[in-house]
Amino acid sequence: MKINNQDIIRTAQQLRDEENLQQTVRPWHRHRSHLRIPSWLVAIPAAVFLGFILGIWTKSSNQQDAPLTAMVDTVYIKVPTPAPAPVPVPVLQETPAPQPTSTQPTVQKRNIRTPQTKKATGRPVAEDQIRYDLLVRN
Amino acid sequence: MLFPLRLSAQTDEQLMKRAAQGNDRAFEELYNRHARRLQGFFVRRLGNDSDLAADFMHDTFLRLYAARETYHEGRNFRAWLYTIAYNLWKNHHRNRLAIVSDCSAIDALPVDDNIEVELDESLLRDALRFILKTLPEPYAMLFSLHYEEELSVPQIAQITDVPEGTVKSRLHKTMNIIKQELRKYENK
Repeated sequence: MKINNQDIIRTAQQLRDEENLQQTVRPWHRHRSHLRIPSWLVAIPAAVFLGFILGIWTKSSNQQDAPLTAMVDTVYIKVPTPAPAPVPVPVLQETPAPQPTSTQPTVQKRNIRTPQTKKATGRPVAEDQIRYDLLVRN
Repeated sequence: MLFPLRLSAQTDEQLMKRAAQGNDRAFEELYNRHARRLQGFFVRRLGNDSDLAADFMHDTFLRLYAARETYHEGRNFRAWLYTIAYNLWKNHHRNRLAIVSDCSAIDALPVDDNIEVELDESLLRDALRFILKTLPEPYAMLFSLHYEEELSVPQIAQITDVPEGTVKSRLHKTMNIIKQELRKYENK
C-alpha cells in the first residue's frame, strides 16, 4: 500500500497508545513527598498516646487492684448530716417566789392491801442456782 | 463564581484555576488525566527507560504543583505542562551530552520533497517504531510534540522557544526524513 503522511501519523499514534498503556503510573499522593508531615512529628505523639494506653491497661489488672480494693473496704464514708436546729430554752423573765413549805413531816398511810414487793412466783432457783426469772434483758 | 461539583466534567484550565486556589483534588484530577500520557512521552524521549521516565513525570508535576499559584486564566494547561517537561528533558540532555544547539546545519541538509513509499501495514509499524527511535534531535522532539502529543504549532513554538515558521518547516522536513527512511524497507 502507498504510504502517505496520514498513514505515518496514524501508525505513530497507535504505537504511542500501546506504549502509554504499558506504563505503570504511581498515584499522586505518593509523589508529594515534599508536602508530607515529618515522620517524627507523627511518631512522637503516637508513642506518647500508646504509652498512655499501655499504662492504663497495666494499672487496671486485677492483681494491682486487690490492695486498692482492700483499702477501699476500710474507708468510712462520713455522710454530712444537717445540724439540728437549736431548741429555744425558755427563760423565765421573773424569778418565781419560793413557796412556803410546811415543816410538819407528812405521814403517808401504808396501804395494807397492796404489798410493797411482789412475790416471785415459779421456781425460785434453778439447779445451777441462778434466778433466770429475775434476769433482765438489756 | 459557582463551579460544577463534578471535577471530571471540568476542563484542564478550570481545574488548574481551582488548584491555584488551593484545591488539591482538582490538581489530583489533572494528574490522573495527564500522568500516563506524559510518562509515555518521557519513555519515548529518554530511550525507553521507564523508571527514569516515571521520575521525570513525577518532577514535572511537582514543579507544576509548586508553581500552581502563578497560573493565570487563559493560559493553556497542556502547553504549560509540556513546557516544564521539555525544559526538564533539555536539562537532562545538556548534562548528559552536548545537545545540538545550532540546528542550522541539519536544517540545511537536502531532503527530497516527493517521496513515495509502498509498504504493507505490519512492516510500516515495525519500521516506524525503529525510525522514530533513531530520529535525530530536534526532529524527534518536534514529531513527538506535534503528532504524538497533539500540540499545535504555536504551542510548540512557545514550548521550544523557536519561531513558528521554523517549527513548521522542521515538521515538514521530519516527515520527509521518515519517508526517506521508510523507503529502505520497501524491498525487504
